[in-house]
Amino acid sequence: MIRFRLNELKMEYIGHPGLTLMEYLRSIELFSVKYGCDTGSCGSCSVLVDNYVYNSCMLLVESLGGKTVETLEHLDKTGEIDNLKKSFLDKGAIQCGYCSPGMLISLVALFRKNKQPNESEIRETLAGNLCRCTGYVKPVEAAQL
Amino acid sequence: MWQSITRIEKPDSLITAFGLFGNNSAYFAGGSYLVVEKNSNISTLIDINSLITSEIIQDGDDITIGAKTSIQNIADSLSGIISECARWSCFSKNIRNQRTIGGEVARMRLDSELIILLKTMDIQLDIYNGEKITTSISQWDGKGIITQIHLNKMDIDNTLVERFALLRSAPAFLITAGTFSSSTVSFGIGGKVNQISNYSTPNPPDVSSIDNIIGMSSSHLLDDHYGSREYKRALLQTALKRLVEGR
Repeated sequence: MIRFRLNELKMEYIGHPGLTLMEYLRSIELFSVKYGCDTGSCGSCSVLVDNYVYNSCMLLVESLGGKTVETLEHLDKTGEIDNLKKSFLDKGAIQCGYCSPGMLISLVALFRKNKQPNESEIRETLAGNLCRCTGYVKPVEAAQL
Repeated sequence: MWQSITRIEKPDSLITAFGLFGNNSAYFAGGSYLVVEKNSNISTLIDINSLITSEIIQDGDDITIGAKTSIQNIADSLSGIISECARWSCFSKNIRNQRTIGGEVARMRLDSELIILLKTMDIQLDIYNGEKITTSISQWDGKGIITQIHLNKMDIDNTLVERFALLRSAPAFLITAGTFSSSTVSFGIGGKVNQISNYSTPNPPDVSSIDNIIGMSSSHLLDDHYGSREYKRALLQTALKRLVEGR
C-alpha cells in the first residue's frame, strides 16, 4: 500500500503498479489534470509534488510514498491562484484553455520560491507547458502581476 | 498505464538491488525515460531511490554529485557551462525536476548537452556492480548502479560548448565540447548523430588535427531533415574553430 497526501487528504493506493499519477487523478475526477501527450512533452498534466512541478503522466502512483501532491482544484479552493487567475483573464491569456491549468501550476511553483520573478524566469518556467493557440506573450504578461 | 509492470521492488541495499536485476527488470529512480517509454519487456522495477543520494558536495575543486540529484538541481546549484548544459539537455523544468543525473548518464543520450560535456571531461563514476568501483564514463560498460559522479571544477571552467539548433531553445542537432588542459584538448561531438565521438589533440590543436577530427567524425553525422552531412561537416568546422578561438 502506498500512502501519500493529495490536496490535503490522506490517500492510500493499492492497485496496478504501472498506473500513472495522471490516470489516477483523472479517475477520481480531478480534471484540471489534462490528458495531453502522455509522453511528458506538453505539461498539460502538471501537478505539484512536494512543491516541485512534475508531469503527472511521467510519475507512477507507486512512487509517491510519503509525498504531497497538489492539483489546481486545491489551489483554487485555497485561493492561492486567485490573483493569477484574474490576471490571466484580464490579459486574455487563455484561448482554448487546455494548457492553462498546467501553466498556472508551473507559475505557482515559481511564485512559491520567488515572489517577483523576472520575464526570463517566467519564460523558463513556462517552457515545459506547450501552448499552440494563445502563445506565450500574454501568459508571460499575465504572470508579471 | 504501464501494463507490463507487475512488481516494484524496494530493496534495502545495493547488493540486494543488484541481485534482483534480471532480463525483465530495470533500475528505477526518477523514471522520466522509463515511464514515458513503457517498455513492454520490463515487468519489474527496482526502486533504488532510498539507496542513492541527491547531494551535491563541493570540496575544493572536487564536486561529488549523488546519482539521485535532479537535473534541475544541477542547473540551479552549479554555475557555468554545466548549469547551461543541464538546462539545454531538457527544455522542460517539469522533466528536469524529475530526471536524475544517474538516469541521464545511464541513458547516454546522444543529443544531451550534459552527456557530451561529461564525456568530454571524462568524468569519474562510482558504480555498484556487485562491488563498489570507480571508473571513467568512457570506460564504463553500462552495467551496474551509478551511485555518484565526480567532477573537477577546473575541468568545468576549462570546457566550452558550441551547439547548433533551429532555435536557441530547441534541441540541438550538433553539439561540440572542448576541454582544454595545458598540454591537450579533448573534443566531444554529439547531437543527431549515430554515436558520440571523442578525440584528443595536443594543445593548441593545429589545422591538420582539426581536419582529422572532422574527417573521422563525418561518418557519425546523419543526413536528415536538419541538413546534409556536408552541411554538418561545415558546421562542425565552424564549431571547432569557435571552441579553439574561444579558448
